Amino acid sequence: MKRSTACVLLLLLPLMEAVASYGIYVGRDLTVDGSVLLGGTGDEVSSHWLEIVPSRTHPAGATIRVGVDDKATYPGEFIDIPQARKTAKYITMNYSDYEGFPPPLTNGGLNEHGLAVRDIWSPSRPELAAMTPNPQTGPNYSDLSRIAVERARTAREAVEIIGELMDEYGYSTYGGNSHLFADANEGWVVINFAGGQGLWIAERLGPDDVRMSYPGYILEVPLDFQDRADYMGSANFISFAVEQGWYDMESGDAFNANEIYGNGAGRSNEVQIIEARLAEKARRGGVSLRDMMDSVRDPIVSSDTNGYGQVAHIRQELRHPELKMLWVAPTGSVTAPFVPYWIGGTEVLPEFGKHRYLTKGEATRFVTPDFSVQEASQFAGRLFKRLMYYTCDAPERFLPEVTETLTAFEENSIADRDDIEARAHALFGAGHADMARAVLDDYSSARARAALDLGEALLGSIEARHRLLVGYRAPENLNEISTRHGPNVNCLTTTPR
Amino acid sequence: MKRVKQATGCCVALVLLPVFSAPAAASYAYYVGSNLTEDGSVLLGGTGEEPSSHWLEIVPRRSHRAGAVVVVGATARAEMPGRLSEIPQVAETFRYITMNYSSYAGFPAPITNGGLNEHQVAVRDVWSPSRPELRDMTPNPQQGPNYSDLARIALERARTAREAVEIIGELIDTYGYTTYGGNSHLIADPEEGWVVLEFAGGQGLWVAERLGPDDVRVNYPGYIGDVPADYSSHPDFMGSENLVSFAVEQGWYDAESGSPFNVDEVYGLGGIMRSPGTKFVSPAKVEAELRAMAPVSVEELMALVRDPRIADDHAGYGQVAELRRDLPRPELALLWLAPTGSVTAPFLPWWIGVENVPPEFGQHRYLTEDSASTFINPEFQLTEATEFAGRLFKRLMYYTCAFPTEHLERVQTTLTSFEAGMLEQQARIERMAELSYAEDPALGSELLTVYSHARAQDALQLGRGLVDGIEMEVKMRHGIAKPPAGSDINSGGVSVNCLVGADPDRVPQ
Repeated sequence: MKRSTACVLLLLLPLMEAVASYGIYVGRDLTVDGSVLLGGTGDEVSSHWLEIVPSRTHPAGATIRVGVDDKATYPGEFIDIPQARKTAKYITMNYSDYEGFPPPLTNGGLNEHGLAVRDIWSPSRPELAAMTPNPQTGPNYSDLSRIAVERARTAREAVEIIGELMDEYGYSTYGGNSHLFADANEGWVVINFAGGQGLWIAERLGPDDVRMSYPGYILEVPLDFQDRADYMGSANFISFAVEQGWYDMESGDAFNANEIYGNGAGRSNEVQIIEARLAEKARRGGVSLRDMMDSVRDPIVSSDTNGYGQVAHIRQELRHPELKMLWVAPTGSVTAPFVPYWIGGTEVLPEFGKHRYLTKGEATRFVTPDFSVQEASQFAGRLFKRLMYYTCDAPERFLPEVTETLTAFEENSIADRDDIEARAHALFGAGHADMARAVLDDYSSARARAALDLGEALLGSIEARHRLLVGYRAPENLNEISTRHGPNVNCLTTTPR
Repeated sequence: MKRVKQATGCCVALVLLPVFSAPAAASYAYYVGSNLTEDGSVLLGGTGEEPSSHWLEIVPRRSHRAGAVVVVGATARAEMPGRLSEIPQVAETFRYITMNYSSYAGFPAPITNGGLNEHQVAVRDVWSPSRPELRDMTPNPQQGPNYSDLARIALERARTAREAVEIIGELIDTYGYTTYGGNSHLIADPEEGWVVLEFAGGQGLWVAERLGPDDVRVNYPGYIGDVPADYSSHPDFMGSENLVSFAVEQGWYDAESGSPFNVDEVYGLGGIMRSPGTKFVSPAKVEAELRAMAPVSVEELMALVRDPRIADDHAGYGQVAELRRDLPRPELALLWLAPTGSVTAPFLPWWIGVENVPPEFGQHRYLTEDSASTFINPEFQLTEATEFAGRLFKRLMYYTCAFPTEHLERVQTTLTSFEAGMLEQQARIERMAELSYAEDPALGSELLTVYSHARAQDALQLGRGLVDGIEMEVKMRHGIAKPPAGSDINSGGVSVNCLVGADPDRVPQ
């Protein structure tokens, strides 16, 4: 019985890989300015919108509802777990749908302590996926991502917090997942395995490391990992594999977590290409914010499946703690610009807020009057999707100019940054925190508006030239506007993935 | 006995009113007979009220091989679950214009409410709640064509409105009917109209009433009043054989009473559907307005389709069919269509002879079922890259209807001026097309296609200009919108509407 379920899941596995996400970490000794860089995206269909969530205090005894319900791909039951007394301010891209999980969902973002969080799929071996209890209980990947940005001050603390939560409440899976955490000192990869066995493992990334998760992986884990400063994990991490006959203590083999509990594929091609490229940059003077944006935007990984693009630029010395920065592209960054947001900011333009395009339930329900004026505004995600669809239909012709233009646009923001931060710093110093924050808001919103103008101009130009030079093609089969398992729109100029 | 029964029915209906007074979807249709219109045509206007994105399709005439079938009905996923079944396809299906959509009550996409075919048969679909006992009787799973299957088949197969009713009736008699709780169709041709009601309950119950040249009819919801005892041989009525006998069996009608068989009272909501109705305005009130308006022009019917007392965010589109006798060519059959709720969207002329649809008016992913959990099929990449007309005019609606006293009058007069220009050109364009068709059919189609596409592009320009201006004005006068207070952007509650001081979906107190 179990075996046949496992077979079914084996068949499903390649399909699930259609949705992926990636995270890229570069340690502080490898960057031009000594910052830690964490970039990436979430590969989910559903519309993504920007939120700046304020710091909040909660009454004693407050709880949060976590997990999944019976509508999830792997069904579960919600449980309530204690809320923290205080949750930190954070910037995130929320979204509405993934594998039947309850919205809003998040993959992380950046919090007021300078902790950056990314979430990436990491398929567990089919036998583990098949062991997942029905119903399962415990926080899901999005709950853990949100709790990490709400509660943790450092990457290590984030691992400790989500590890403890999994140990205590279990974990609701969609088949295997990972997180990539980073602060100004270090990074951590955490893998949350399917199967309801409470299995998790975490590996530290140091100042000399480059790591791309695509999918998330950890290779060799020392058998005494619990005594090592560079590892954390569930108490049963080794013993469970032994019990299952997946690892032989006597063999003398290293404990390869990816082979034993994961997909056994190790580092994917894309990971090898991008890690090698960044390592090369590091050798030649260091990885820059620009290099990280370029990697996140690379068409070998950035396509229609991206919900957004993010780069956390985690700098060593800030003139003020509210100057921590997250660069966010409103949809797949292959054709969308990164816009700068500081953790001191409070404002999100309606155009970058929640809209109905690709939002769960939109086809069966009407808009609420509460949301109608926001829905009236242009949706940045849709604007840059349109640009992507034209550009990626003829990438040889259009992608170079789009990439060049977006790069120049971002370089302008990067060049303005010091001045903006100096103004904000002066106002913070003068005791006018509200005015300092207004400086940050005004600049972020101005760049967001400029991004919309740029997007419309590029779209207008490329749409006009696409019509004239390439030509519109009507779909042949009028019944299938959507696809669950690909192929997907991408901007590769060679053979598609 | 009868009185008691009726009182019960009435109470049940009243208790249920809140359910029906703000249905997630409703739709409306207006019929104006040829003696009451300005140019002697029959006019059929209205909309479908469904959340799902609506897109324009011009479906060509097609021949089908012997033994071909059509899959009809609903799956287990429908709100009232069903089982799909196959019925025979005909040898040839006619060319028609329609707005398709992707989701309603769990029925399989694409879904349609009708449109206009090459024989000038126009079809509109409107909800028509059956009495609760009938809804409860609906078998699980149910089987047979659903409302959309019937609307599409009517367009594909019927040469007249009467024939459409006969086809629908025969299909229900033979294969059953898959319901979502009670439905109606309003079908018209250049001579007459027909209202058909399809009742819930799996009993095969249906009834149809003819509308003549002196009639007006507003289905909002679809209703039929008194039906004569000899309805099956009466030229103005049709219906299932069991229409009266089933009601007698159930004790819902006493054949001996001498009272007429009132369909709304017996099978509907207890005699309230025409008046006071279930909405801000009742069918009876709108019918009186139409009569007072006679002779009714196309422009006037457009105005009533977009009336903010009725048209709101629920409207998936707006339609007016101008059904003319002695049309020189079938290709000149004309359907006016607004790409979303016409309260803030312009009507555009689409003739049966138009070859294809501009991509901006074709299918997009906005409000399309399952788009939150699926990526785009690359085959649709270039369609999705285009601006979606439905979304553009929804944006205009949301800004306009947030401050209707400031913007509605100006938006509507701009739209009617745009339409007036096209109405003025219509005779000349059609004459040019007629001459071109006589020369070479391809030339005629090209002429109509170029004209309709050009006006569609004009409409997009107009929409963009209005959105830009009103957006700027809203931002200046009212500031950047504060983030919404709730977390749920989608709801089945109060709809966004442009009516000042009332809700189009509520009966006035």
